[in-house]
Amino acid sequence: MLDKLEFLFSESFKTFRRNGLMTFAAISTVAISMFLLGGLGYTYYRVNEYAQNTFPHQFTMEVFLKKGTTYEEIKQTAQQIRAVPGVESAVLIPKEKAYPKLLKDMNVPGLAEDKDIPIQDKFDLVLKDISEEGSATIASQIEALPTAGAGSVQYMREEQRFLDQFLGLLRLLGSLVGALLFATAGILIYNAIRLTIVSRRLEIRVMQLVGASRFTIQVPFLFEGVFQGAIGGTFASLILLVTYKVLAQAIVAFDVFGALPDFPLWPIMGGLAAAGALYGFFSSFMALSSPLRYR
Amino acid sequence: MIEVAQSPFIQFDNVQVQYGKIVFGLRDVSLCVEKGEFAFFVGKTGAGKSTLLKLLTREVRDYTGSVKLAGRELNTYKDRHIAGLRRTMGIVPQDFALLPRKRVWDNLAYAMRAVGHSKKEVRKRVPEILELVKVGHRADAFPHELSGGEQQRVAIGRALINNPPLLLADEPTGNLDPEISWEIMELLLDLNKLGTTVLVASHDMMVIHRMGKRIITIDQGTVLNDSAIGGELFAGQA
Repeated sequence: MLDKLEFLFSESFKTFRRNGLMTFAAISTVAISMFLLGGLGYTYYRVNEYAQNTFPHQFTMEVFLKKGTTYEEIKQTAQQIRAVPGVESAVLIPKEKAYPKLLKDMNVPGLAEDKDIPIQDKFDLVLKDISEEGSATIASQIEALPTAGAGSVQYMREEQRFLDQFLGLLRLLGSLVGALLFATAGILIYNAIRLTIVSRRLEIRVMQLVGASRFTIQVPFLFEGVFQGAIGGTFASLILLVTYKVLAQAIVAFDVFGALPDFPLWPIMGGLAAAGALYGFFSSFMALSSPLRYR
Repeated sequence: MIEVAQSPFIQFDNVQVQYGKIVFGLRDVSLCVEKGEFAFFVGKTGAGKSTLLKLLTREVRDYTGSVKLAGRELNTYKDRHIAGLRRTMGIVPQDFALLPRKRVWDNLAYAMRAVGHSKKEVRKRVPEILELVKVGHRADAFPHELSGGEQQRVAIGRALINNPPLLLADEPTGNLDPEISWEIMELLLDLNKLGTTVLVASHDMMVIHRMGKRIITIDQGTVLNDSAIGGELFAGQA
């Protein structure tokens, strides 16, 4: 078994030397496409995480209760609001507390504090889902409550729309550029394997003459595709690491977001190498489908 | 006269091979070859002699009629079975098909490794084969350093790695001097004496006549003459 594996591996490595230029082209394209894909993916993940951790405290949702809502009704409403999916927390701001603060903030000295308070009790909500769609769903569910009613919910709809669009654009850009480069990498691996098959046609013929199995003939080429993809993916993670370090230093220097977390090299390297290997296997499998048929 | 046995090793029955709509590779060919026999397919270029060999190796797959090897119809072999079929025969191609960057020893070792032999088996068997085909002294040479006859011997040696009961050689003396051609034929004869059935496609009539073996003459895809069933026997035939 080990003997057989050694033969198959040595066969697949031979073409690395023999078909060096094409192999280099395939590996470098896989590396660049994976770098951009991985980089954009990681950026999206970080921005999304940053938005999820930061924006909910800025994008609070306010629920104004109807005038005359009793204390019992307020308690019941609080339970109902907290039970709405996507609501992380709901804090009651009684009008008796909110009004003096409002007066102070507005700096209006003429209004007497013993008059009827003209504002309503409200809840300040922090949401788990800050997307525009998620917020709208939560708002409509809360507006359906008898103590709230239509128009009782206020939040920063436009800001959330902008954030949604920005994340969507990032996703679209990443998908487009990544898909283009991914396809290019696949075509290059495919071509590299095809060229290898041409350059090794005599060996293939000899193997077919003496009755080598299709497995023995094909596996070295599949290994080659897998190696190309895995090496490309590994290089991509290393380029990502360097880019991340440079960016992290710049961010610290400009003090925009504070320090970035450490780059998770091993999971990213493992993920990109595995993805590259899988893609290399697929591309070489496609390249092998007809030319290695027994003749 | 060579008798036709009741249970032939190889049997062609009304075989027809057609390339395209109007070109025929073989037309209505029927013949039998016994186990341990030595037979030549002779004829002009394009007569169909190589097609007969390629039917046996399944390089030519589309035919009508029946082709049986050791009693089994060859069109029952699917793609995935062809490797196994090839391991039951030794194939010597016209162009030798030696790997130019590998030494003689490695050419055989590579083929053996490709069919699953271990390194230990390779170390034991390769020198034996090289001695058998009389190129043991050239084991370290590259193919381009060998004469045509030596290259042919290596190609024959490679065909023997599976100890095949059947050896198929396509124009084994095609580009060789008469003296070297005779040596190659003697080597094939030696292998035949060891029990291997040998089928040779050739148009080297001078050597063939001197061998005194069965000669099947093919012309335009049909069997024109078969010395085994009352055809012309050449001088020197046993």
